[in-house]
Order: sequence, then C-alpha cells, then structure tokens
Amino acid sequence: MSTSSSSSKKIVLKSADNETFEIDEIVALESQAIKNMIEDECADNVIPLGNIDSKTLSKIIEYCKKHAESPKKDDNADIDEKAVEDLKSFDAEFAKVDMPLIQDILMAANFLNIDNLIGLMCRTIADRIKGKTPEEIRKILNINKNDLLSPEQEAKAREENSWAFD
Amino acid sequence: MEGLPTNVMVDILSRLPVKTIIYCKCVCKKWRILVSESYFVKLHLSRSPASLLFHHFTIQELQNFGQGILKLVDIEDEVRHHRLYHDPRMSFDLNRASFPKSVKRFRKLPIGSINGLVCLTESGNNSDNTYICNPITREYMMLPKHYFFSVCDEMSIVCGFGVGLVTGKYKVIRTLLTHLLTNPNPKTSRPDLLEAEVYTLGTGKWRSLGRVPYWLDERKKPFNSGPFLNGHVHWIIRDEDCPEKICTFDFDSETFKLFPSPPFDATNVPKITFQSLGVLNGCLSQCDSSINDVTIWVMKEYGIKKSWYKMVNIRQSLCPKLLMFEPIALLEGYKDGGILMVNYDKKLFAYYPQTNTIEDIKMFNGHFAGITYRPSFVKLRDFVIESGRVRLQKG
Repeated sequence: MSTSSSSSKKIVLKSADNETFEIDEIVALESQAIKNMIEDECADNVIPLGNIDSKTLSKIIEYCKKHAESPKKDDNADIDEKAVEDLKSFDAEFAKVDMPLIQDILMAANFLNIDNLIGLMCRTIADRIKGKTPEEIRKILNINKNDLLSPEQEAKAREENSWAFD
Repeated sequence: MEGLPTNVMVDILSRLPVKTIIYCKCVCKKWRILVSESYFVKLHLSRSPASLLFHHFTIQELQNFGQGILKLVDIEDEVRHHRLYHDPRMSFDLNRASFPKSVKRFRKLPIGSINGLVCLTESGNNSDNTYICNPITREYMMLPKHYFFSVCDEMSIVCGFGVGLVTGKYKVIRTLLTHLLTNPNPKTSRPDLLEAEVYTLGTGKWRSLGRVPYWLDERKKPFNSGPFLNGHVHWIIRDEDCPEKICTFDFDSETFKLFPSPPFDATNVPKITFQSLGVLNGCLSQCDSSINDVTIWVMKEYGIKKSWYKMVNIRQSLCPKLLMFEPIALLEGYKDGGILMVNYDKKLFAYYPQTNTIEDIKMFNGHFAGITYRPSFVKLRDFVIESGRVRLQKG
C-alpha cells in the first residue's frame, strides 16, 4: 500500500491551463493510459494533459489517490467490509457535483482510461436521467441544439414509441 | 454531452431502465441510432435486470376468446424489502396483434423467455401454433406450421425455448406424446408416440428430431414447458426404470440426456401429487407437492447429483388455499431466500423461509401464467430469414 513518503517516485501532471500536480507514481498508475506510457518509457517527468483543465484534473487526482490507497480486491480475498463501505461512500460523495463537471470528469477519465471512474460517472448520469421524460433529459444534460431531433423527426420518433409515453 | 465518445454514451444508456431508453430515442439524433446498434443491444442485455413477465387474462377476456396481455413486472430485491412493480405502459397487448383470424380465438401460453424474446404456444382443438415476440421492440411473429401437427386433445405437448451456449442459436423444442387408441392403459403406460421437432430462429422451418428416448411428464397440461438453464431445457420424466427422473435437451447438440435428479425416496412417491422444475437464484430447482407439504429442492452446483438439497419444506396447513390442489410453478428467488411462486394460473405468492410465512401477492385478477424475463432490445428482424414474418405493433 502506498503512503505519500518522500522516497516514492513522483510523477508530475500538467493541466491545459498549465497548472502542475506532483503525485506519487502509484496514484498515477490508476490511469491505464499513464501506466502504459510509463511502462513504454515514453513518459517524461512531466506529463502534459492538454485537454484536461486544472479543476477536472484535481478531482481526478482526488479520486485516484483514494482508490490507490484502498486495498484492491484481488490483493486479498477477504478484504474487510469496512474498506469496501468506506470506498463506496467516498464514491457517492465524489459524484455529488454538477452535470458539466461530471461530463468533464467522464471525458478525462475516458481519455486517461480509468475504468472504475468511467463506471462511476456513467452510473451517476444514468441515475440522474432515470425515469425522466425526453424534455427533462434534454434539460438535465443540456444537449446542444444542433444535436436535437428536428420537430418532424421528433414527432416521428414519438409516434413510433407512443406506446411507452404516458 | 454530444462531446462524449460513443462508447461512453452507450455505457450510460445501457444502465437505464427500458422505458427511459425508449425516451432517450426521442432526445437526440445520436442516441436514436445508438440504441439500435448491436453493441448497445449486447451491453444492455448484460446489465438488464431479472424481471418477470405475466400473460394475463381478465375473466371477461377468457370468456370472449381474448388473447391476453403480456405484462412486465420489475423486481425490487433489497435486504428486508421486496416489491414487485408493474408499469401498465410497458405491456404488450396480444389482442392488438394481427394474427390470422383462424387462430384468434385460441388461448396462447408463454413457454419461456430468453434474452427478452418470449415464446408462446397454443395447442389442441385444431389449432397448434408457436409465436415469438419481443414486447420491448414491439415485434412478434407466428412460426411456420409445425412438422408434427397436434390434431386432437388426446395429444400432449412438452416444450422448451432456449439458446445454445456455443452456437448462440435460439431454438424452440417440442415433443408430442400420444397413445394409440388400441392402448389398454393410456393413463399409466408409456406413450406409443413420442416424437420431437425443433425450430431454429432464422431458418424458417421445423425439423424432425425423431423419437425421444424418455417419457416426458405431460401431466401438467397445459403448462408442460421445462425451465431453461445453462444451454439446456429440463423436464421431469416418468420412466420407472430410469435411475434419474430428469431429462435435458442440449440446444447445441440437440440431444436428450438423463440428468441427476434429487435423491429418490420410493416410499414418498405415492404421496406426491404434483412436481415441477424451475430456476431459483440461478440454480435448478424442483418443487414436490404432496398431501401434507410442499418440498423445494435446489441443485447448488449444476449437474452435480450430490449438490441437491432440500431448501424448504412448507406444511400445507400454513396456507391450504395456496398450497393444495393445484400444480405450483417456481418463478424466482429473492436474495434472502424468499421464493416467488404461481399456483396454477390464479395465484401469485411468496414464501419466506426465515419467518415461515406466506404472502398472497394480489397483483392481477383473473388468470395468468408467469415466467422469468429479462427485457432486451434484441430484434426479431435481425434473424434475416424471419423478416418477412415479423410484424410490428404500433402505437
């Protein structure tokens, strides 16, 4: 298990707005993409992440730190339930952010290939639109006007699926 | 949102309840396309929750030759909290299906459901057809004429619907049993005729499989379908000289085999009034009703004879009106050991072993048959040869 001792190897991540974050390598390894870069030895000391802003990146580091510190399932078959519960409640708290930030985190997690975080964010979005009408879903997700169906297309889609509408 | 990569959007959509997914088809262009792609269909199916499907008839419908309505029921299964929830919007009304006039007045029964596809059959009284439908994609079809055609009421049909573990092919298997008129003991002797036929979805025709080696139990008529598990359908057999009392049909190899049954107690046999097989929490299960009690056996490890154990024994006196007189079908198991059951076609109830209590679940009036079901977007039209047969229910 990792602690942030000064002797462990450090990695520096640089956000789009040029902020740098120094983290333990073990935390960075939560990202499959960074792990591959390190293993292929194509990572310098500073890894630039030109498409992730500092607000999003600091959230992602917060998540990776917590998950890197928690005992992994495959390490120990009978990991104590308290650790599982603890991680669960951390995840629940972590996801309590507004929709634009959730989407930014999801984009970044997808780019950095952090499986658990992708799952957590997808589940969070799904929970927020579950049981909602098309109008409500559009509003919650703030879907771009260009991407919406045209009034004719929407009328057609609604008619085809009218059986499911109240 | 539109900036999200496709794989992530599919991930989000696949976690939603079916009704919300249908609403999402009306939200934006991209989602409309995504929902119909096979990658989405597969991912959604892998996450689709275990549910129930009831084919429900009101009393009036039964009297007026109605076709009944397929009703989806969600299961909420939490610790100390169970709830069955039915959204009438998600129903599929068979009365509105454009079946040929000649079959309209015959009652159909669901024989099983695999990956969201529901198989129904009607038999006896000069009408003998099989149907497949998906209540979510609103598609339905009547299969071509059977190879063996049931023409009289004396004929019994034992059937099953499943999918091959290796081939992934969906198949309907049915066996016809009947005695010749010259047979002196039709009730107690092996049927003179015992033939099987199979229909593979996407081939457009029934094939004969010839004679079935075992005497399949046909006494639950008309509920003679076996449960599907692990690439096989399972039936109880009546051959006295067989060491095991269960036979399976393998949907890949299309062969019939004996299968380990619960420990056999000859002294108990005369007391048993009804027997049925089901699947509880992913395990093959057997329900033996006798004059005094109902015993439920569970096979903990599939195919391992020694893993059969008596899960519960319910005294008839606990609730005679639910437990006696009629065959009981096992529907589904709750995580805490509760068991959902249907008594013939009128009563849905649950037994809770921890408290030894029975709950009469008054969900539907009239008559119904219940099966386990997993909602899916699997399209019948994708079985290319069938596409001419597939109808779409609109509105």
